[in-house]
Amino acid sequence: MNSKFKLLTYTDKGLYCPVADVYIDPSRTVERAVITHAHADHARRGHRWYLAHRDSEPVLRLRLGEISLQTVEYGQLVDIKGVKFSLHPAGHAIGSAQVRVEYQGEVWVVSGDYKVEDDGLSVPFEPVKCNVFVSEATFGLPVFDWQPQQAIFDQIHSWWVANQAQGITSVINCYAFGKAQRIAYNLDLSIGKLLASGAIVSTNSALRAHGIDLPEITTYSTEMDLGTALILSTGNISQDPVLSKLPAVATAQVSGWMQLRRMRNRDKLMDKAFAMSDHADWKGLNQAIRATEAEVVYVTHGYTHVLAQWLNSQGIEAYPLQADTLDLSAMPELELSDNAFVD
Amino acid sequence: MPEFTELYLQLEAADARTRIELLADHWQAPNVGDSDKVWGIYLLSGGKLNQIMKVEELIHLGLSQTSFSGEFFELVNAEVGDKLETLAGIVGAIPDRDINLIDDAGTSHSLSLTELCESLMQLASSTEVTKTNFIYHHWGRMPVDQRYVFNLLIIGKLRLHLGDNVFVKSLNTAFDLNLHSESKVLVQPGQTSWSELLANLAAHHAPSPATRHTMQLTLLYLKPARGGKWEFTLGQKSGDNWIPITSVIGDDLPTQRLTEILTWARKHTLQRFGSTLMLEPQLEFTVTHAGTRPAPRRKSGIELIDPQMEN
Repeated sequence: MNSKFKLLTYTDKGLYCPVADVYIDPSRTVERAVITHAHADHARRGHRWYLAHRDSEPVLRLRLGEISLQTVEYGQLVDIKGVKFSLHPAGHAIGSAQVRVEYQGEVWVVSGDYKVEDDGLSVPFEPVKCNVFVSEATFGLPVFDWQPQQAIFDQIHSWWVANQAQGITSVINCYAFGKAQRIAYNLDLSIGKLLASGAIVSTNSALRAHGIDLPEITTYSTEMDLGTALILSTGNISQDPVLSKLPAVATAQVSGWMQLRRMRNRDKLMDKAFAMSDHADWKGLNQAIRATEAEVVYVTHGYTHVLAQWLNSQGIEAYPLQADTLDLSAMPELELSDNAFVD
Repeated sequence: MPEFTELYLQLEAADARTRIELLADHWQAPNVGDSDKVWGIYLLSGGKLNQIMKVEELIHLGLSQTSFSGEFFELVNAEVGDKLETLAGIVGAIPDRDINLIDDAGTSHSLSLTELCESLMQLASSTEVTKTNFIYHHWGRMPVDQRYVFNLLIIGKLRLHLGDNVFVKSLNTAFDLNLHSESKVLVQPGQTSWSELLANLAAHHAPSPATRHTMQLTLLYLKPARGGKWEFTLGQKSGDNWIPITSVIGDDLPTQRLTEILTWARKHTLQRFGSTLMLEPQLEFTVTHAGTRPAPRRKSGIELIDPQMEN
């Protein structure tokens, strides 16, 4: 390993830069947090100060309330105790970012969640050259191989049309932030009404108010004739007071996990599965990692050991970073230079 | 092939009742050819093709075209849990080879199930090189789900083995027939046409309308079923207890009636078990059926044959 010192370490609160005293997507309350994107498992309540991309602001404020938030544009440098932080497009969701950390010529990049396909809505992923790359591996198996998103949207469109022909309401289960906007933005909404649960509508409204070009979505209610509408829902349909009353409904799940048969087969009430994700597939992960030209790769979230083993077999020094077990045994012991602790 | 793949994967995940609905939809699908339906019944009822390759040989063939080692394959398979699915997933981008068995003009479109099965029948007596090229050719052209079903067919057999009663019920549902649920669906692809199959079943196995029986049963449980439908569990009182007799999907009920029942159910739920509602035993329904047979594992000790709700 040519990298000079451990610019970031892994602690029980998450990835930490000791020189700047800054955490990245910390899992517990800290003084200073750089947030890669506004999903709940990355952006948590309680930090004293947040740094995020400006397009993350509406959803962060919606979810976290009044927070001390500094926003930046992609590429804008923020100097904290001599360490230069900047955010770069991750293509995962609106406002999502990789975090570039530079100190004394050493550059580490933390990918956050990312995908390499341009979804038309979030700023596309941009590889950032670095010494050390911390990559996610949510779908780090070679069996995950996404079809181009247009092919999936064509399938969703056909499914909706077929349901309409039978007078059936179509319900898609998806995340309130990210997938819901991607679907709403890319589907042809001229063929019918798009409705959604409250969580999706409030997220969508916040993004629209921020200036993001998204279609307007209305919340469904008991008073409405849902008819042949397409409904985006976040919860269990059989527990939903409105959707559970529908006499005829077809349900679908849109998720990368739908590529695995055992995951599809878990929900016997789901009529249709569409394999589409906001995370990179196997080829995307490999493409992104190579593009960074990193000397060392740490792999976190998902199939870490599989991807790390693969990268090692390809001549790339890689280590799994076990977020759930905090297993640091795989990480090499590196000497932190004295300078690294200087404010 | 795309239609059959989708059907197969949905059948894998479905319960018995949903399988009948899925098959009924498939038999009526305008884009599914009659010969594909015959092949579908043959394969789904446990019919075999000649094995082109054994599982391990097929995996070896796939890995030889990728940069994955056998050890890495096992690592991935440990996560996926199915060797043929893992193989289908990792052989997505194999460069095309010379094609000996079939000409390219014939494969520019999506291969039908009949075309694939007939090709596989020819392939069984072909050389190893021809077999290999055929597999590479189709792996390279199929989406991942089709590659999985294709792999199963190369091995010689699907994993699902549906009973005759499932096919009969699905044909009854699809074409409003009245075939006896214990009829045998005998199919020999290439020799039996779809119309012959239906005609034979109708001619030899249709019971008279007089064989239908009627029961008055009380609604005990209600739970959501696939496609926005609801499963009604109906029963009778035996001493102080209510005993479930049968479960029926209420898809023949008019929407208005179904809405009334659901509204009533919400006000008369005794207990919830997940999404299943245990109801006050008040609503009665007329259920017709084609007879009963012993079912020792059921509380009632019997099973209704082809139950249908009348109101």
